[in-house]
Amino acid sequence: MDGRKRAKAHKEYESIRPQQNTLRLNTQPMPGPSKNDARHRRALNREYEKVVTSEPAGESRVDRMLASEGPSPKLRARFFPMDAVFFTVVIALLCFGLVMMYSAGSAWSQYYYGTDTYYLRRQAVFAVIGVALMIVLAHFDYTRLKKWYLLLGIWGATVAMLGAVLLFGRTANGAQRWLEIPGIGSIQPSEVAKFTVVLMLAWFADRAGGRLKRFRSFGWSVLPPLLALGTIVPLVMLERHLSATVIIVVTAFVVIFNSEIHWGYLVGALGLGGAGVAFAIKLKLFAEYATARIPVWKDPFIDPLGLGYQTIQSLYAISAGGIFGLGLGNSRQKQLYLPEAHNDYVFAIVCEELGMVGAIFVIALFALLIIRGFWIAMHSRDRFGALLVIGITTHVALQALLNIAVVTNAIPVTGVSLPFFSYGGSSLVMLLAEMGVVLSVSKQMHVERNG
Amino acid sequence: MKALPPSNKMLRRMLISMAAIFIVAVPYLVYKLYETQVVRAAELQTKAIAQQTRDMLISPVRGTIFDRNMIPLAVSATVETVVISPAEIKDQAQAEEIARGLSEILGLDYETILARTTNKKSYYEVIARKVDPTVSEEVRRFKTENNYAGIKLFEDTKRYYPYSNLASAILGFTNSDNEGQYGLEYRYESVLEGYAGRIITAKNNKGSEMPFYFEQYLPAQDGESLVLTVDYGVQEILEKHLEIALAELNPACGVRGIVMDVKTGAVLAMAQKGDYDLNNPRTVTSEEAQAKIEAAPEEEKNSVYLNALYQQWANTVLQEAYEPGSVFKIITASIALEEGVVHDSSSFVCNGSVKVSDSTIHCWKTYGHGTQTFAKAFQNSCNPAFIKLAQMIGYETYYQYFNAFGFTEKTGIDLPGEATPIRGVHYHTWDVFSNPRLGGLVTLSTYGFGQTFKITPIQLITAVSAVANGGYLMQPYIVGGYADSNGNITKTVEPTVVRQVISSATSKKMCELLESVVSKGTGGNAYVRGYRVGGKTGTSEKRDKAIELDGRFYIASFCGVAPCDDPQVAVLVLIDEPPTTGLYQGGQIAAPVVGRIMNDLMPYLGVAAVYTDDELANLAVEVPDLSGRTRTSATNTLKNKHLKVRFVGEGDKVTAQYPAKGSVIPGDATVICYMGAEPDRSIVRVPDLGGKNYEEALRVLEGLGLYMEPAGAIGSNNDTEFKVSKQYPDVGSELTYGSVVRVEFYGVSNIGE
Repeated sequence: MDGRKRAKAHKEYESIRPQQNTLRLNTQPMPGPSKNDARHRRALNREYEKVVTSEPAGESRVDRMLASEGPSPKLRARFFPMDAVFFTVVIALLCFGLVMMYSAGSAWSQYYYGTDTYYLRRQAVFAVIGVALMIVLAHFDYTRLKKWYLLLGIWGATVAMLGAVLLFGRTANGAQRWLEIPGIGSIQPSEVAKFTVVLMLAWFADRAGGRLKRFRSFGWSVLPPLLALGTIVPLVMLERHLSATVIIVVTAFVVIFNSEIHWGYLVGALGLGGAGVAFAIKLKLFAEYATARIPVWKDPFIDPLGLGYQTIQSLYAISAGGIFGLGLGNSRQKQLYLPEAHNDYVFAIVCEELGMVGAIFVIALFALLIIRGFWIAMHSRDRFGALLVIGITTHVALQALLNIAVVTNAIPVTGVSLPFFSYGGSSLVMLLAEMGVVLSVSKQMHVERNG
Repeated sequence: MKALPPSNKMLRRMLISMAAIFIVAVPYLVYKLYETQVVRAAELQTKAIAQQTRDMLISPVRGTIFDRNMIPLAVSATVETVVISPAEIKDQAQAEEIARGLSEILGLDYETILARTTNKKSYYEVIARKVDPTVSEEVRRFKTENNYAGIKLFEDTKRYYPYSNLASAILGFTNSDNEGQYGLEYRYESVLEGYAGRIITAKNNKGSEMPFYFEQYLPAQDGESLVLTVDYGVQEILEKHLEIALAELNPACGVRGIVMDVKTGAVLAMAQKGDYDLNNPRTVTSEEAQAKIEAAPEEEKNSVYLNALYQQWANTVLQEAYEPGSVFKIITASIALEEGVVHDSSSFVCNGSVKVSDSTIHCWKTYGHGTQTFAKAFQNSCNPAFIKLAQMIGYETYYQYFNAFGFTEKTGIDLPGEATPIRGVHYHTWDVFSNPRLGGLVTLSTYGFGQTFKITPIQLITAVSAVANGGYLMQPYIVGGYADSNGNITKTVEPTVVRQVISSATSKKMCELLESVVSKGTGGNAYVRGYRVGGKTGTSEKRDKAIELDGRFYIASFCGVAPCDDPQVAVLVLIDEPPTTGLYQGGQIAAPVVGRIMNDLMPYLGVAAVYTDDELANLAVEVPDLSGRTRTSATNTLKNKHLKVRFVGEGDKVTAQYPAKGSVIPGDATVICYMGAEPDRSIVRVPDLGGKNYEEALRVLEGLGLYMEPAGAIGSNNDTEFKVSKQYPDVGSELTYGSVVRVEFYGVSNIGE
């Protein structure tokens, strides 16, 4: 957005800004499943007023935000600046990721395609598409996602794609995850599913409003997650995509946790989940391909040419880097020793070429992304945007942490790619689209702009 | 509906979420990085580098072993190792073709090779080691013609010994990894082996080189060459005569010999027979041992075979201590002279035996030598005289000299396996030696003639060299210098004097005595006319074996020194366990071997023959060139040389002569000069002269028109009867009239120990 436009928008905003703070509270009792007796309603009102009046008028955060209600979301989405820090971190990660992906994949590219830039060129195209999409989406008013038919459409499409994968999907490495789309390439519907679940949970939490705080809000607290997870997670599990399942469930939990939900449900969910996992372990419900990885995780050298191979090669790469690394482009392990060097194991090559310094730099960039993401969530205009950003940030954070954990053998091997670094066009586009949504939320933040 | 901003509760929960990430997850990952990149870095990096690099060794060329005239005795030649790399073989069809091709070229089993191609992960399966260049060239052609990446050839070296058996006891051999196993190859392993070079290349996981990564090349450093003190010619002479002795005498434990430069202690030659081919050291050569292996039960065959090999490889010259017997009288006599306990006028009485304490010790001559001077007693090798001598020297002095001559320690020769003399086992402790109640007097007495203690042949010849060279005990050595790969001498080894044991005057006196043993005494069979050979005979009993097996087992030996006016070489020959059914005394069988060795050795070493007047008059007259001379001139010339003449034909000038100029014939023989007449060219068969004495042999040959060149012990002034033992050429050979037959005589009587 150029300066002239921004000045114009600001001027418009100043002109329509209310001159004094007016509290426009909705004093209507919340509709909901509660009993409609007077005693209960009074109690509710007392409680609600306690919240609203707990802070002195004109000073509270709520007051300030409500007071600056100001321009419409549409206007904000079009003319307000997006968060520069978040945007910069995203672009930095993307560029750094591209360079490292190129370096890590050059030998494999040379080996398979006779040129070291095959992966780079393809990834760059998707990066350009992704950045364009991100900027477009940043200018899109995310509050439109609150439309029920849009949500229904996205949910329907996701379920349809997940179903299609199970029927027509391409099988790779024993898992059916890829959906071939002529002209575009292959996409992983599970990537979309992560966003869909976040969107659904944010939508419902927003709808529920203050009702979620109560323990007796079963319909709002339990049914939406059941609906979101229950329709999507089983399909992902059928793909034998354990890591995606874990990411979706954990992300969902974090989104729910960050809504105002009563802690009793959280404890219940954790208890039920823990019992479920324990039960599954007890009955040996986990597939053998998953359980076999545990002993190899503890000591990869028990199966150096089989299950432990990739981990060993990764550890070799990381160890070779030492503190300062071998220098950019000087990795030895990428010379066809480390499989998927450009994919799930880019981080190992980062460690080898740039050492612990480079690795911590990458972690720091992700940390910055996460902190800024949460910062945007904290300052977002509404709960829907906040939870949406939290969901997206959490899923990126989880993916990055899990990937680094796998690469450093901190957890058993599971197929998680490193956002911005790993090779993969559709997932990069999807990721950047999500970043666009975050940026869109950032545009409508309540921030003291002149202070 | 109005949008609600996040509540404080939500903000709190957001902070909790972030805290979970930054307090738990991130530090754990950073810790894992630290663990991998710092704590376990060295261990993992080593493994990583092992996987990323292909390390190829470049074998260094092993140093050559030269004799002192730079004749190579052990050389390394380039050979190749044929390897297949199953990972680089395309498919089963190609594997079969390769197996078929290689089995044809290398003469190996097709199935065996095919079986090696099955491990597809392997890059290195050795098919044949040390393939000669001609064969490996064929493999290379097979590889390139068909473009098989799966066949590889690696350069290697192989040790060759151009003279097979020659000096096998000294040189030793290497194993298939080119590591020295025995002899000099083992002793000088670190010098000869050199340093292996390496090519370290970084390879990617598909085996091809990394595009830009490192390559390190450390060149191989070839081994240094050894220049021995051993002389190929001397070694050949020694081995030739030992082999003859072995064939003639057939001793049960073989024959051994050393030739040493007395002035420096340098070993000129060292050998034992039977020996083995250094190129095939694992072939058992002794027929007896082979029969033993055949006879052994199946499960013991291998250990019997190995024992036979160890026996074959052992250098008994250094390893086996024996009782030296009468040769040791050289040492006793030297001590006596040095200490002044005897004079020229000292006389000894021998009655054939002498009683020492409670034991009676016999002389080899059962009826005794009567009264004799010291010199005569030495010439006669009289035991009672040397018992007396040892007693005159006394315990303490004798023991001191025994030490001083180096019999109680290793000589320190630079060959492996020298036996360490053990006090109380090989020789007596001072307490036992000096204590009459423990049989000390008998011990001292028997030491006097070289029994009841054990020394190695190398110790003995080193001590005898000291006696001959002016009294200096030298440290024997065999490597005289080092050379680089181009054969340039880089370093020479200087002789080491251990100590002076006797004075040069005593040494001089001893040389005269030694010479007299050959010219007048029991050593007559070592006599070589023209060269003043001295020496001492010895016949020692293997007492321990005799007690164990209840029989008679002897070692006949002779230690010779020549020329006695200025000793240069010492030669020790041991004949181990000659059959007692025939001749077995040192003077009878060992002395002739030394004589023959000296006969070849002296001219080889460039020692000029100096004939005594006596020799000139009787034995060794060189026939002058008479062609073109007149009758009177020829007659006068021959008369001066104590030769007679017979003229055939009527011409004025000599046109031809028998025997040819330069022939050596005895004095008083008749030279035939043809004065224009046609020389007689009839063919004469060489008669059998065996067992005849000098006059008989001469008469037989003269009768046939042949001349005799007398050789062997005939020149020694012994009151001995000489008989023909050898003749060249052999019986039945065809010679023209007037040719010379070389006839060797050996003393048969009065030649004993």
